Amino acid sequence: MRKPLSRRVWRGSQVVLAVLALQTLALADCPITEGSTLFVRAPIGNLQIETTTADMVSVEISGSAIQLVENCFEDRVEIGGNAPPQIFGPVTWRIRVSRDANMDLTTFAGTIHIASTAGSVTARNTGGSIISGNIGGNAAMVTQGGSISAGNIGGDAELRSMGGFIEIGNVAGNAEVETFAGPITMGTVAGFVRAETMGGSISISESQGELYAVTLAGDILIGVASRTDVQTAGGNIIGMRIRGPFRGFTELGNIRLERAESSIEAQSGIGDIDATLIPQSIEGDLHVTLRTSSGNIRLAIPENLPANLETVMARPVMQGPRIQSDFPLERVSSGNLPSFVSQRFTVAPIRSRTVLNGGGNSIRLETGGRGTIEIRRIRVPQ
Amino acid sequence: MNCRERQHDIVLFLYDELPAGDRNDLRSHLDACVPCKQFCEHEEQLHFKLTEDFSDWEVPSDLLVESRRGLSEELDRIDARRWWRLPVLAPLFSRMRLLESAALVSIGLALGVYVTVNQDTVDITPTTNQSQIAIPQDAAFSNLRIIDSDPVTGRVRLAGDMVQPMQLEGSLQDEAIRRLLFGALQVPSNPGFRLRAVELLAQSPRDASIKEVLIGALLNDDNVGVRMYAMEGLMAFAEDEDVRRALIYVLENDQNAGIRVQAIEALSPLSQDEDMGEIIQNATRGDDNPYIRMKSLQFVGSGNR
Repeated sequence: MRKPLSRRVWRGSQVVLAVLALQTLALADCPITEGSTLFVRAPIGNLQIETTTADMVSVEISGSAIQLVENCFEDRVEIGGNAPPQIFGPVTWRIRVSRDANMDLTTFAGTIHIASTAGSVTARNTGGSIISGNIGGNAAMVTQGGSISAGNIGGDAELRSMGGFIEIGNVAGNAEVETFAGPITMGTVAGFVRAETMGGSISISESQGELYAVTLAGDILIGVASRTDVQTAGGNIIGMRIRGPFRGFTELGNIRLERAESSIEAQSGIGDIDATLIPQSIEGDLHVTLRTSSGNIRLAIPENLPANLETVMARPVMQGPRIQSDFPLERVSSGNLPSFVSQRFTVAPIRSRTVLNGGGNSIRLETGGRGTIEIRRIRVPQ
Repeated sequence: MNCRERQHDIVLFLYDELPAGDRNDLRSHLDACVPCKQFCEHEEQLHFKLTEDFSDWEVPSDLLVESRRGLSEELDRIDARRWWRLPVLAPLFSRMRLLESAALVSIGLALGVYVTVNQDTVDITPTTNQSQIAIPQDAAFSNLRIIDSDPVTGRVRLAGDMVQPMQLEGSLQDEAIRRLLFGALQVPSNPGFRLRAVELLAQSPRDASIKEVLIGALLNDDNVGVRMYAMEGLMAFAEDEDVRRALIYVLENDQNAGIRVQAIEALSPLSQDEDMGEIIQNATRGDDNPYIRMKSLQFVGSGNR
């Protein structure tokens, strides 16, 4: 049951300070306890949030005439103000708050700087950058135009920008990151990752949960990830260690997987695909599909992998098929041609296949006119 | 038609040289004739082997030597039975006749050289050897077509598009590097490459031609990321007249609020210029983003102080 308004107000007091400050400082203090939330609604101006060990909130406004309103409640502190119709020069709200408090910050026009804090942070502005240190709880930051830069996040992270780069440290929870323009960079994420940019590279050190990343232009670089689904309209995809199933698509660019431990589905419009499959165990789904319209394919697989391997290569002009394989392959004719017709002078793609270790996982490698296919055996210690 | 002639047709068939009307006859014959069918299968296997990539095969050296010796002996045997040594043709190929012929050929060649040198136009049709040299091994072809063919001489003229892998290394000052990077910005289907190209070019925005290219990307590129990178390259040069005009245009017209925010940030150092106040006000008057409107107000305020 909600307490009456009078009881919810801390010690029954409400402090309203109306300060007309022209080129001067506006000051107000208010107590705040651990777990309480600081709400800031700035009609205009930059927010500079400093954290202290003292359980107090203090505010200074510099630069222009703002009518400051501060309400102190038991579980929250509200800071707002009214701006005059005309403002000249920069306005800065300098707020000191306990590092154990949560923050909900909004400025309708201005940048936001937040020092490291143990609580959760929600920060929004209509333009300008948002910069924060480490945040102990959840972080939600939204700007309608500008970059977002945050340190380590102790909970979930949700960062969105209408245009500007986003960089973030390690995240203990899930991470949802989106920008209309600019690169995305993040450290280790314990939960799932969802990263999208309309233009810019995406770089993720580690995703311990599922990873979904899309960019309309730029590379996607992954250190370590589990289940992975990534797409770029133009750029390379590079994964150093993919523990779960991998799906990757690029219109123009190369795909390189240094170590894949589960199934691989990779497709490039124009570009090379290079993958090394080193599963923890040969049990389970380890199917591989690598397809490029124009480019080379190189796949390395363990010698004991049970698989049905098939290669398909478009017939190149002036050249013979170029397949190098550590496993003997058998050429097969196209299914829609009579058996007595030579494949040599037809447009049918060149198909080869073999069965490895009794068969099982489907491995299909397909390249267009100019590409080569290379299949290498990885020796498995007995 | 006997089986010997049919087997000749099989070879033509495998090379796709058999007229369409004869193919059905051949197929019917193959269904009925076991020797010809076996011959066809043998030829198919031969072609199958020939299509394999044998570049990595290691052929024993003694087999090579033996094969070459056998080939040489076979050539000698053929040479011994050359047709002009037939008795009926011997008078035509006496030493005197050959000498006369050689003299006539020499005169003809000299005349030909004289005429060729005095011609205004030069036939650039490549010789057979030249056309072989002109085709790189790692090239890919598309849109191949036959421009012309002469059944009498057997000469054929082909045309098409050839794509060949290449790598080029150099500095941004190299003309070839520049041309390729500038050209990359005109490729609408490859935003990733455009992004990387702008990112690279933005490292040298002082260069007049690079500045021009970056401005072009900022104003015209469809991808907001490419525009953002171009903006970052130009931000430090807002005092340049061309850059300033581009930034103002972007501030007024770009659909992305992030780009407009960057533009007004880039123009902020010019706030002391009193003329800029009105320009910025006009450019941001209808902007729906409060931050941009605030920045423009501060801009005017700074200028008026």
